[in-house]
Amino acid sequence: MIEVSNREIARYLGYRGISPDPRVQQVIDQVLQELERSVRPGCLHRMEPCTLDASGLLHLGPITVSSLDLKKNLDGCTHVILIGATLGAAPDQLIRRYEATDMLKASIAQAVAAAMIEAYLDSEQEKLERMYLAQGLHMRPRFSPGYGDLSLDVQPEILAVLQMSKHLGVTLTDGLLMIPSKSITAFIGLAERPYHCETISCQFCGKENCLYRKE
Amino acid sequence: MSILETMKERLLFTDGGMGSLLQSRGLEPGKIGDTWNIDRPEDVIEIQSEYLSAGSDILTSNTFNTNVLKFPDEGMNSVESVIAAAIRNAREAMRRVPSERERFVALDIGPTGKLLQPLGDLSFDDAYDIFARNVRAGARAGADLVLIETMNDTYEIKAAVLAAKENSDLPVFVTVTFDENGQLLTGCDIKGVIAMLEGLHADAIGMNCGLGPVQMQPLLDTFLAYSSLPVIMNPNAGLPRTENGVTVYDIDIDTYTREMEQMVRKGVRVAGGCCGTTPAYIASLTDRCRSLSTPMAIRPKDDTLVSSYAKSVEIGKDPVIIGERINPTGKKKLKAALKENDLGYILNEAVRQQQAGAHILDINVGLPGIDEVHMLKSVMQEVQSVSDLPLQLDTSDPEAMEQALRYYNGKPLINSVSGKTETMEKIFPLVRKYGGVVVCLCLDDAGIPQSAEERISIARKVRAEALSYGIDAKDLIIDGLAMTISANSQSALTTLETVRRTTEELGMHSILGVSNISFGLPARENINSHFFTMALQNGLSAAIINPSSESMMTAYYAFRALAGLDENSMDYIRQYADAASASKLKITSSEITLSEAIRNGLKEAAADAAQRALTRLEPLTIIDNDLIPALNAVGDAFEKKTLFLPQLLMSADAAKAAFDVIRTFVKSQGGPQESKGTIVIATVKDDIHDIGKNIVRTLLENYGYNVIDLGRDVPPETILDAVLAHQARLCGLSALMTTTVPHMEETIRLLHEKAPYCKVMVGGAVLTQDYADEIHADFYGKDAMASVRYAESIFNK
Repeated sequence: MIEVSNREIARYLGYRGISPDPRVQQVIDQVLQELERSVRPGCLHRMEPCTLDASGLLHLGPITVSSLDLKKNLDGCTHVILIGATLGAAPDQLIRRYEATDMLKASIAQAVAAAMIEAYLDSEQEKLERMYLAQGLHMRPRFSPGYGDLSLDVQPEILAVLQMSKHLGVTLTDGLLMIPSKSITAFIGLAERPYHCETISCQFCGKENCLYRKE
Repeated sequence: MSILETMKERLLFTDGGMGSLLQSRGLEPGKIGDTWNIDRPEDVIEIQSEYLSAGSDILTSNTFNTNVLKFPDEGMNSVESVIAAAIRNAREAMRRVPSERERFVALDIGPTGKLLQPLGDLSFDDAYDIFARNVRAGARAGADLVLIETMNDTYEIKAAVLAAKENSDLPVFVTVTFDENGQLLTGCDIKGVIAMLEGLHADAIGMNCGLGPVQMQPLLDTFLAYSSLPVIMNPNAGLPRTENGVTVYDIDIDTYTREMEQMVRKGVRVAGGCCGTTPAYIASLTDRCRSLSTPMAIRPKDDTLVSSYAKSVEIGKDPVIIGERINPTGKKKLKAALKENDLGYILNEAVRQQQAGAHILDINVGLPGIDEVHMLKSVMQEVQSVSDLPLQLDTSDPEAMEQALRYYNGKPLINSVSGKTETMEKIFPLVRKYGGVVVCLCLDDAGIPQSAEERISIARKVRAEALSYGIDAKDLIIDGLAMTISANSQSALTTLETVRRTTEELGMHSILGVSNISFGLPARENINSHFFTMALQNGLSAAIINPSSESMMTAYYAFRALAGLDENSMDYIRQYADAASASKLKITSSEITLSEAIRNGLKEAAADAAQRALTRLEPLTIIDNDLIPALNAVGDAFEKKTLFLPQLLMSADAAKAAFDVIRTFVKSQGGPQESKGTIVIATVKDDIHDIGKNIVRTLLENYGYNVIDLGRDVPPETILDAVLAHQARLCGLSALMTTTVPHMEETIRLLHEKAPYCKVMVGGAVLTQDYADEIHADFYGKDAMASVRYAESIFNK
């Protein structure tokens, strides 16, 4: 079971400062239960060496990218984890069904599923964090294609390296969006020294739900 | 001897994984190994030779990734050259490792790598064309069979099987990838997959990849219980895990071999492996299992199954309810919806019937003046995008039926054939080709017989005719014809006798359009529900009824509880335990004003309040003085962030309920159906996220606008056409990703050029005021409420 925080769901629904009233909360709980019953989460990851060449290109195993923001995020990292996760097709199907009859439930399902995929990846990431910490490697916050100047053009390569299509059924549209849509890919840097928020500014950090994030 | 003949005589063994063996020879992760057929043929031939030495009877060509999406370049690395080289390499391996046994080369076909519409953006026809090209190339290169594998979406499977069948004469084997619960990515269960594949006449079916043999073992039991076709098992070498950045699989050769032996003993006819199974695994498998004596005959199964992309429904064991609401006969609103192409109304009906307890939905769009061929297909596809129930395709137009059958995702119920020679000649070939369970009406060229005896004899005739087309009796369901008792007081008895004898004498399943029984009588539900119970008692398997009718559903639940079909009456209790307390709730809303109801998002209270207001006020006064101000107040609070999206939508829903009451009233008084103006909205090309756009639509509709919603992934020209056709003064465009904003810009340019009277507002996660200015939008809506405000400013001028 994926632990989804109510605060996150409310955040995705646009709530600032106050909590959903009981009637909205009741719908949230109902949609959450329905999603919990139907999602089929899956996650793939792979560690690769991380190097920077003279022309400023990042080499992340077999993938080469040009991105100043990711470069800052990965500053000091020797390795990088490529990670991909999905909740499967059920959230997309459920949202479409609600959209035909009930936009309230559709928008709530959208928010709950968004919070859920983040929570799922967080929990998978925590497992990896413990594992790599035992090897003396510290994890950076994950950084996804589409953040900052990291283009979505890198998506086909990430999906191919992780074989996300074959093992998780995650594919790309012509516009490079992932389907099922409740899916995430990311790079997670590994460095020998621990990471502090001061190391890199919020702008270069993928941790969107950070309490201390400066907008 | 063909592989199908060979299979009757002995077990066949396939090969194992290819990708990891190529990687161990230097293929980089993420790179496609299919080009090695041309660039490094020796490596491919050596690996395949190892599999032959291990005892494989079937070599799968190294073409899992070969398709035009991944090999767009022509010439050296065209799909055709890669496939020809792959088949050549497999043949060369066979030449190098001779055997007395006959062996076969399978053209390997994997998924396209894209998800089909409606979830994804690849059309069924494009998927078909991709597969067809591979099949033609493989057949030309001399493959012995087609193996469609690692499939996780029924729609893509259907495209691939049709492409294989229509572009070659080769046998077609299909293996799919289930998760541990026995579901595909898109949700389909094992029975549903089998039903569809048997309907499409695949030659052997099974599972591969995703799981190891241990996890597949319980799924195999279901597979064998339902499949009348030979079963293939190609599991991975267990479940994957990453070790030092490399994927490894968790079971050893002994465990794999032991599990596979058990599978073969249970009745698997083609065995091999997938990811992680090396030639050593296959050698151990063939060594242990080749000489096993296992029964070679496969018992044909007689389950009557229909399916959707997500589930199967079995007809015969427990009564099945077919929702009749999507059929325009006698339904004004639906007729209007079909004529105006208002799919929203139809989808709502679909979801409501599902919530009310329907197991299958009837889809009939036959209306004078409607292009039924196009409309049936389009309504069917839209309904399949919101409901996971199997559908009953209901048309008397064979061309509409063929199109619907081709594009249906799953194995449908087909309504109908009769004893008329002409309908059988037109419909049975379609059923034979695409699969489906067919409703057979007990009437023929001489008309509707008066006696049950004659009806049963027509059923026999239809069954014999179906068999001559190769359609199994399990795929027929007999309609004994419910005819109104107002014309003939004996007619119910005749129908009931036909139903009973269908079960008892023919051993077949039955169906009725139940409500026909009361045509012309008052209070029809009384007659309908009692007749329904009588029919169920006589063995009725499926009933076409209105699942929203309380008395019909009561008859259904009560019958099941009484007939021992509802263990511990659990379903009955779930349905009616709260019935006593529910009636109390309604009363409380009576004193709430319309304004309060809308502000608090109380849907039923809003409808009640509107109804009360209509007794003393003019409709327009209610709208202007209560409804719109209340909505505006909610909108203001939303803008000030004292209230949030969910409440905004709840209020919008409440306002809509009130609007609907007022509109119905105005219409009943013969008044005009006024709308405040027409607005075209769409999510731009390549963008498939449309929830934001849908929220905007909901709000605009609730402010009284006529919204033409073109959906998502809409090309600029389509948007222009709609704006021109409706002379719309406002168009809303949504985009979520930076990559799709250029399409938005292009659409704006086109609209400003060809429809200068139309203002364009834009919105979506990626947009800002600056960005909107840059692409020359007339307005940037930062949220749904802002779009409403802008619309008000345009249309209230």
